[in-house]
Amino acid sequence: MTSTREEVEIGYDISNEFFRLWLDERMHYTSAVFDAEHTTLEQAQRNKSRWLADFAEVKPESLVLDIGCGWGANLEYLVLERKVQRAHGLTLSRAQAAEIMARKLPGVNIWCEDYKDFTPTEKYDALISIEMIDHLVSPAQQQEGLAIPIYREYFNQVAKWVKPGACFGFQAILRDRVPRGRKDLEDLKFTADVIFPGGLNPRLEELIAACGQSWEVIQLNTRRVDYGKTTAEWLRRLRLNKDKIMASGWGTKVMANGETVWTNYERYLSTCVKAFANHWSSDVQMKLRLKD
Amino acid sequence: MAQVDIIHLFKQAALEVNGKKLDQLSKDTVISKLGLDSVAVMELVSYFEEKLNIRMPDEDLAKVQTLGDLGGLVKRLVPPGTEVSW
Repeated sequence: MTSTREEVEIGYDISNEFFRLWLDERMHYTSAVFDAEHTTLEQAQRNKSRWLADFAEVKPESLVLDIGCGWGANLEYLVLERKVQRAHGLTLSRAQAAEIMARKLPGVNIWCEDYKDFTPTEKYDALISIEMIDHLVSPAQQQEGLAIPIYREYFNQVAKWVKPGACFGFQAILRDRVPRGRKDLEDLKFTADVIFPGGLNPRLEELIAACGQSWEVIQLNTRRVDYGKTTAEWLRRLRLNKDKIMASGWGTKVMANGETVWTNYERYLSTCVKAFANHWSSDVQMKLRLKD
Repeated sequence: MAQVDIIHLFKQAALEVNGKKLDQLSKDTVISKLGLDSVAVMELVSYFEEKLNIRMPDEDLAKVQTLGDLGGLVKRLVPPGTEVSW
C-alpha cells in the first residue's frame, strides 16, 4: 500500500528544528535547480519553485494546489514571490501541517489528509507536486506489477480536480540503474527501509506510461546533477551542525534499526550523493497539460 | 549448442550467493515470494550476469516477477543459438 501516515511521519517528524539545521531557510526537502544565476542552496531552491510555477502557468489570480506540500516552502514561494492570492496544500504529516500554520502565509489553506480522501471544494487552475509520488508505491507493489496502475490512478484522479486546459508542475525522484555490489545495495535498502519506509521511487518510463491517459507531457527536464549538488549541500550542513544536533538530543535518538538519528542521516545523505553521482537515482521535472 | 537451465542456475545462485537451498521452483515461481530481500535478489541477478556474460537492463529487470520472466529476459540477451530451458 501507499506510505501510511505513520511511515510518512518517520521520514519527516523527527523534529522540524532538526531539519531546519541542514535544509535551506524555507525547508525545501526536494531537489533544487542550480544554474549560473542560482548557485547557493537558497537561490537554487527558489529557482526550483520558479520552474514548477512556470510549468503550472501560475498567475496571481490562479487557485493553486500543492499536493504533498511538505513544510510549505513552495506555498511560501507562491504567495510571497508569485503573489498568488489563494494556494492550497495537502500533506499527510501533522508536524509539517503545524509548521505551515505557524508560518501564517496569507491566502494559504492546508489539508492534513491523504490525496485519495481529498475532495476539492472548487476546481484548480494549476497543480504542483514535488516528489510526493515517491510515496505512492511500495516495493512489494512494484514487485507485483502494480506500479503503473497506481501512478495512473493518481494522475487520473488529480486530473478531475482542475479546470480545462490546466497545467501541472510535477517533480519526482527517479530510480535508474541498480548497483550490483552488496555494500551499495545495502545502503540503498537502508534508505528505503529506515528513512522512507513504504515508499519507492518510480522509473521515468513508468511515469510516462501512467500520466498519458489524462495529461500531455509538454516539457521534461531531468535534474540528476542538481539533486547530487542538493544532497551534497545538505550533508555538508548536517556535518557542520553536528554539535548542535547532538546537544539537542535529536542526534542521539534511536531509530527503528537500532542506530541513532545522526548515524542514519549521515549514512542516508552520503548514499544519496553516491546515488545521483552513479545514476542509481535521478530526478525529473515535467510540465503536464490536461488532455481536455 | 550452449544450454542454460534457468531453474538449475537459480538454485545454484541462491545456494552459492545467499546460502539458501530452494526447492520446488517452476517457471511460475514468483521471485518476491521466495523470502529473499532486494539485496539478495540483486546478488542473484549479478550471479546470472557473471555466469552468462550478459548485462540485464534495469528497465527490463523492473518488470521481472517470475522465474519465467527471468528466463525470457535471459533468452533475449544470450548469444543466438543458446538454448534456454526451465
